[in-house]
Amino acid sequence: MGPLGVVVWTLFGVLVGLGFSWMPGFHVYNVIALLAVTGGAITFIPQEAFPFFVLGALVSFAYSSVISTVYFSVADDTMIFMLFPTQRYLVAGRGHEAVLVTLLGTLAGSVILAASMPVMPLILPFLRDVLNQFITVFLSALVVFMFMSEWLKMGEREENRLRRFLKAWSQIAGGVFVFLASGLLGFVVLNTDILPSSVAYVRLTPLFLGFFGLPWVLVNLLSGLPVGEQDTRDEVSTDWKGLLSGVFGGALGGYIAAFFPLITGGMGALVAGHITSQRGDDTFMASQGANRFIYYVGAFLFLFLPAASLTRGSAAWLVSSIYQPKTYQEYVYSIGALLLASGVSFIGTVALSKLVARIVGRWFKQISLAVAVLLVAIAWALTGPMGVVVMLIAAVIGASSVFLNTRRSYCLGVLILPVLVSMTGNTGVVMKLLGLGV
Amino acid sequence: MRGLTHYISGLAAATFFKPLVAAVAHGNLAILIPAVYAYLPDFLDFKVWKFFEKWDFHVDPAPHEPGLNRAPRRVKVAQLDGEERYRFQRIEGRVSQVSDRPGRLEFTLTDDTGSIRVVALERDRDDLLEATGGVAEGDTVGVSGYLDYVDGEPVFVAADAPHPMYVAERVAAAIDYAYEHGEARVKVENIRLIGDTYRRYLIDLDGDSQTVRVVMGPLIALGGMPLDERPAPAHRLVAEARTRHRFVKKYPKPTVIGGFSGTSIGFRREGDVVEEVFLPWHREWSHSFTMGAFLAALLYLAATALGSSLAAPLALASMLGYWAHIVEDQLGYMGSNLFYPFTRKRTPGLRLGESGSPVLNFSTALLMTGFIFANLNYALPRPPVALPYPQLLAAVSAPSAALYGYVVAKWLRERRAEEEAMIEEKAVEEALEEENEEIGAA
Amino acid sequence: MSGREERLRLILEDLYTRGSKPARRVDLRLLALLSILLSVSGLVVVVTLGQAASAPLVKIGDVYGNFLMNYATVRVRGKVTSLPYVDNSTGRLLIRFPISDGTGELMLYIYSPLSAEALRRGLLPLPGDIVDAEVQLRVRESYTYGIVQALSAFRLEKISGEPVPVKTLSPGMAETLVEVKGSVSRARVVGSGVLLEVDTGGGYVDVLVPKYISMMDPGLYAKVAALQPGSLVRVRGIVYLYKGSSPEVVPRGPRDVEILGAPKIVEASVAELPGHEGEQVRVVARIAGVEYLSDRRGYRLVITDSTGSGEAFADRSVMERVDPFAAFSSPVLFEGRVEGGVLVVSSAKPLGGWNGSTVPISSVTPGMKGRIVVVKGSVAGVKQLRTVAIATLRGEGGELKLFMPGSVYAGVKDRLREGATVTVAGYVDVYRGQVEIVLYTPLGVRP
Repeated sequence: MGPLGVVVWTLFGVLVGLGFSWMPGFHVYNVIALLAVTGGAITFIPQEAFPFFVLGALVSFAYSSVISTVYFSVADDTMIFMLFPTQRYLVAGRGHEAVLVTLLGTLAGSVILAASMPVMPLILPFLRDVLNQFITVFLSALVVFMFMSEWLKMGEREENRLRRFLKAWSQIAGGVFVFLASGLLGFVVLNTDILPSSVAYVRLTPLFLGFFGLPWVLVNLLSGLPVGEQDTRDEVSTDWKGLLSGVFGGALGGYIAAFFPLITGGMGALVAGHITSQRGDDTFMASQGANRFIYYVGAFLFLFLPAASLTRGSAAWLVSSIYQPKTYQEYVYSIGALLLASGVSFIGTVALSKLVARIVGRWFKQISLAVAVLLVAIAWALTGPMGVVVMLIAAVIGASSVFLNTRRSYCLGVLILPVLVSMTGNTGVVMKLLGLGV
Repeated sequence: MRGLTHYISGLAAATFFKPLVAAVAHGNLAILIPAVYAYLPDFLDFKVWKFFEKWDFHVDPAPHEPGLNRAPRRVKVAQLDGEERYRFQRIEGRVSQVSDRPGRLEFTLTDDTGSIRVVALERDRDDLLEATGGVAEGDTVGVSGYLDYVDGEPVFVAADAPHPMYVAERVAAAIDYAYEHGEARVKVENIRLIGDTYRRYLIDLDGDSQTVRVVMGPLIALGGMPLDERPAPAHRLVAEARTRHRFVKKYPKPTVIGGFSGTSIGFRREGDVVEEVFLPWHREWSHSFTMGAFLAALLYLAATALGSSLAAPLALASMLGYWAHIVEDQLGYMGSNLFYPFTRKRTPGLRLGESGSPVLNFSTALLMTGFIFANLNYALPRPPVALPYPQLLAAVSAPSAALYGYVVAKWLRERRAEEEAMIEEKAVEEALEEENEEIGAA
Repeated sequence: MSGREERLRLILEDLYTRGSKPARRVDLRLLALLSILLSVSGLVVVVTLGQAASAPLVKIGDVYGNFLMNYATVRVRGKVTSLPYVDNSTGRLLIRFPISDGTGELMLYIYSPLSAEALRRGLLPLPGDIVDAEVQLRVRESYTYGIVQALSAFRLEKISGEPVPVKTLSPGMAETLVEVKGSVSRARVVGSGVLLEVDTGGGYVDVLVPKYISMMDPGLYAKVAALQPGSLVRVRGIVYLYKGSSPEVVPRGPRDVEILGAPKIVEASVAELPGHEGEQVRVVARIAGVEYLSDRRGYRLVITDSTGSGEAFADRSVMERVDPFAAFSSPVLFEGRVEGGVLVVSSAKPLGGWNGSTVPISSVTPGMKGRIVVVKGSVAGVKQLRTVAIATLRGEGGELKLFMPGSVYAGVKDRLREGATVTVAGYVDVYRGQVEIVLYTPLGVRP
């Protein structure tokens, strides 16, 4: 496939990504999964073009998903204890500014990733050969740290010391509950046939929609706080040192998440935030932008590395099952495609942000409701009615993380726990315990 | 140091012990325990000990409404007694006897337990009228503010914050209490309003004039972004309370109470004065080598009782991880009580950099990650990186060594200029940084 | 109104209210409790449904290459078609083997720590065994494989029955359980393990003791690798067709390999050799003649002692270890097996050292063909051809060609430089009427 084909399919992917990624609770992986299940992936898109189409979609997702994070995450403080920086900017009428700061981080992430790609084939093989044998250790270490480092925000005002302690620790208990519950759900779904194995690849989609998508829109629907008018001028008030610091930490976290399987961008950001000691809202947002880009796109780009290819992330697994990039030419094309998609996505996202900023105040709940319906429809289309049942159970568990004031990311137990169980050779033990299997 | 830096140090310590690394191949993840131990000192402080701190004084100027997690709390008129003076609360009732003139609105508010005169002054008057659309005879209104006394008569002053005297009086009382009893622990709470917004205020201890001064600040969002730059009206902007006994403030800057959670201050009598101890419960006993050895011994006994063949290396690695945390923290300002219970006070740190210092954190984490990489490389039957072990260790340490060199050079340059006050200031800032990290502020 | 002003208005409207406006309260505790109850109920439902929905049995042909089934947990059942590949080079044991169910072939992987447990439990499948396992599929562009999820869901139907004693093998015996007993005529280490050639008395049978036996019983494997010809062994195993045609017996585990006895070695003279047909013998004799047999990749030796002369055959690898300087001066202790009246040498050790004597170059004549000689001279030149090297030695009374295989030259290159004075030992050969000395081992050159 020549350069023109690369450009065309990358841009097509960018368009598809921009079209869907701004919706709350929606993930570009859902779109790719839909394409796969409906046969669109192999019918309409030439095999060797598929990686570039997905690359374009991932890049635009990394850019435009900030819109849903900023504009569609207005959380009620009676329901959650703390607003995130992007939410705080939104309630102060500076949502567009939050988008811009994040996009600056994303753009920096694009440049860093493109610049690092030529070096990757030299470094990655050593890292892979040494660290691959100990993935279980790193994954478990991160999970344990997540539990240990949780901010215990409850009970601080209690006079009685024991009640103070117990109230605070109820949060950790809640986190453990969410992790185990989501892990159990994931274990059953992945190891039995309650969702048909004929669409095993997309089996996780209703789970993720349930854990993260539905509770998000649910909280939006229940929220009593209005969204004020937004300032849509293209201006940011920040300092470059803070931005750079954020980008550095975010990029580091993104690379960690991209390299290690199952470690998500959020977990990578937690790691990087600690070891680079970041502080400040704009630093945080810029780091999120860089982190998200390198996590999603970087992980996918590892597929293109000649002689050092790594398959990381759902998108890479799907693409590699259809077409595995093989040549140095494709590798070079991928860097060009990354830069092209980044530029177009940046411009597209800024424009989208202004548009959404104008309508979010009035149509906030309606959009959230429409998305909730769409998410249920997707789950049904991919995995049938049982998929919707599983999705709703996941939604309840995801919602419980909100009400228990604990980290939403514990829902990642849906994948982490079954994988850890498998990596430690205990799948049979757990199956027997639950009465599963033959 | 940041928590994860400590945690990685523990993991690095574990990788020096071959049996622990080898056990991973059999699905045994005991290698994580030294990492847990390395984080344990801060975990014990911030997740356990902090909640068991006995407060001699719990200063909550704006108690929360149950079920809402924010101020103001709704009370009945009859509940407004002397103890509640200056405290930020809310009453609701029927309006009568309205008197309105520019800069002063007065009316009587009656609920089912009694009546009280409500006064709204200056911009509080304007805010009240704008929010309610006007106050007339017979209306039912809800008013936030605080109880005060004018000529011995109770008055409810409409306000969007407590009177700073509530805090000033109690902090002063705590200082006097500390003088009389040896020690006092004070927990000061923040002021949280709807929408995750906060009223910032600061507590200034002026040892020269034996005065505790509290100043009400602006309305802010959680990260400190101001939402309302208007200063509080003069009648409730500043409050001062004098102490009976002398006290010394080492930390020159005022204590700022903003978003997230409040803070804990200790006062301890030293001779004839009372000294301020910041975050008194932090690094009291947890950050000591003796505690590390003790906890490692417990681990050894537990592992042996469970029949583990890894008991010895596990205990040793865990102890080293715990000690690594203490050594890393000693690079900062605050220091730790290193040999509790044989020592009583914190030994000040080396002051190489603040615990939240990005360079110090990053270089330490990088060094430890390098150790992990080198040790795991040599644990494999055919090490992918074929360099001899000492060379590889040197290679992975080099970037951190360079960064440490920069830190040391900076330290050598700056230490001459540092005065005592600045050292103390940085120690307190370091403590605040650590607390902020644990409560998610950073 | 700007967002900030909106926010401020909201705060003030919360602080100062008109009418009795109960604050919008969300009972988080109730919601939390409700969500926990619903979560637990939902999980009970899911687990119950899961108990009735075990992984489906699929045909390999239906799932191979189907990317939508990536990560699917399915059951597969098929016959093992090849020896398992067992690798521990990364420190994490890996077992890999292919199965076929008639619709296709699928490679199955067992990763650590399950692999170590599988080995311990003797769950290593051999060709012909039936495997029924739950695997998680991984679909790649050009291949698909399965990862075994749990040993509790891994069933191995081994080829069963009493092993049939055999003296020879044929391709038709593939996937049958046999027993072989005899003496080892040859043992060599190959890529996949130790290959033994066992003389059953009725023929020769190849037995492959696979490398994975070393992970199960390192001591036994080491003994097998060091087996001397003549050792008695008994092996039970499956008949496997190497490269699809060459039958060999593969034991399943250490218990299927028995070393019955060390070889009995008889002391004999050269004249007595023909009377010890098929036996391991030890004889002390001198090497009277050496001749290379290219078709057998070894050397025909004429050996003599006081009782007469006889014939021996020594592999290249055996001859390479015989110091020609010592063999020139001293008798050699030969050990080997007599086959067809010829001593097939397994080891040859000169009993003494070199006495220092040499022969003049000029005295080396065609009549000395096959004899081991020692000469001294200076290297006049070296010509390296593709697989051999020819040096010219100039010494007492003339010049002589030295012929050596490339592998030998590689070991003596430093010593055999032009102009260097060397002492060489080898056997005399005549090539195109010209006398030359063949250096058959790097031990044959001394500075």
